[in-house]
Amino acid sequence: MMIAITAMKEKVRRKDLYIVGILGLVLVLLFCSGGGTITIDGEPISGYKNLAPIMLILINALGGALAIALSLRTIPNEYERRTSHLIWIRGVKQWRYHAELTIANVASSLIATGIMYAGLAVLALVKNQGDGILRMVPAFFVLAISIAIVSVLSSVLSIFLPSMAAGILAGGCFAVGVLHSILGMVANTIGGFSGNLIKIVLVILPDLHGIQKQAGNLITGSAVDAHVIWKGLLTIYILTIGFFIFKKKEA
Amino acid sequence: MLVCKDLRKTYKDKTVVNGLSFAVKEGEVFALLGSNGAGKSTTIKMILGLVKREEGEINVRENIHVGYSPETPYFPPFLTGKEVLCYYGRIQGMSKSEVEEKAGELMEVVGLEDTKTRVKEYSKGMLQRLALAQALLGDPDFLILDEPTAGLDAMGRIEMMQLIQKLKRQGKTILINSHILSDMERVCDRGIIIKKGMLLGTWDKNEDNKGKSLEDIFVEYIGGVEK
Repeated sequence: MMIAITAMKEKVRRKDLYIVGILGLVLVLLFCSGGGTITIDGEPISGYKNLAPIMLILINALGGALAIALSLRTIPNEYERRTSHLIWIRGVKQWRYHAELTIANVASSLIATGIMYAGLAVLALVKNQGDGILRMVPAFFVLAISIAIVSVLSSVLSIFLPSMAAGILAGGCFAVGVLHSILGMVANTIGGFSGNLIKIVLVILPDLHGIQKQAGNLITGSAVDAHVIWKGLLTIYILTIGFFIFKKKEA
Repeated sequence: MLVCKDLRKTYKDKTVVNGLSFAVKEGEVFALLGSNGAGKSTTIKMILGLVKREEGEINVRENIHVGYSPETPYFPPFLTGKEVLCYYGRIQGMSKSEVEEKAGELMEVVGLEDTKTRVKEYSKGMLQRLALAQALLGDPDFLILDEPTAGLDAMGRIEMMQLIQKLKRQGKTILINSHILSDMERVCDRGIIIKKGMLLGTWDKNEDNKGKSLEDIFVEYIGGVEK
């Protein structure tokens, strides 16, 4: 794990990780600090049970975007600055090298998301929901699945695609993932060839919204659909096969 | 130690190595000589498996450990020199205690006794020394040095050459790529002169060179200013 630890240290030492994370936190807090008069099931929209899932949507969206930004250049950078030479000659298998760099990507993406996630704890305290803080811990691990999917996908794509193409493709998959339920409704509404096409895309691409929703359910104490979480973990597993399929021809 | 036969490599339409053959014997210091763009670095990268060859054969003696010092080394900037050595040592399977001990020793060998300075504060010369130190991890039998004196000042070059001579005395086989002929003449036993990836001629310090220096031989083969 030396490569992962060192790559991770390099990312963690970069101030932009924290700057972006804290900016995201401020944005999340600003967005959720207003007092609304609308009520859902008798609770004001600004109440904790309503606001927490909304914050999670924001954290998932910002965290995912950050995961793409943090993961896209790690592997190409290693080859451009030829750090790869001193790794290859030491007999490190490519899949291991890329997997360790991806672990660093996932870890740094989770740190940035974690900084924003701290906003939820602030919200829980402000809304006198201190008990809910404990539930936030397992919820973070669920949300982490969504962030990890985006990070691993970006990393794998960056092995064989130019950064721009990998970024567009990862961004597209991410957008479909967070809009999964909306696109599902659209597919059912329009029907026909287009509707079926959207449905096929939704089967292939991970339901990031669903995962984030389960994290929200954990926080609010609602029922959790474990199937969605397992599907998310399976997606990560499938994506890691990419390390064995996609290889660099030269260092 | 190493036999290369009919190596060929093309980038797009440009042939950078064209039917190159040579052999490096055990215990000798062998030079790859040529101007910039002659195909020296590509040849080294083919030997190390960093670049795929299109044709030819490379045979390195089995069960030997090869150390490589790159031309433009890049190390994690936030690590100290000693930490860099520990990092690469651990990657190549050395134990933590073994690598700690060896790293300190190698820092002394290459003249980088200040173990607390971070790599980002290193000069080009210090980076070259560190590159050599990481190549020496695990006590390699065969060392491949790509432009080890590039960017070094006069004193740095002299010290690097002394270090290479010391390694030679320890029995290491060394393949060096450089275009600084005076340095090569001092430390190398044999060498080949290449241009546009093709072998133009050979040089052997122990043969009768009819009073000609390596520079004279090089100019004869490559073609240069008439004396």
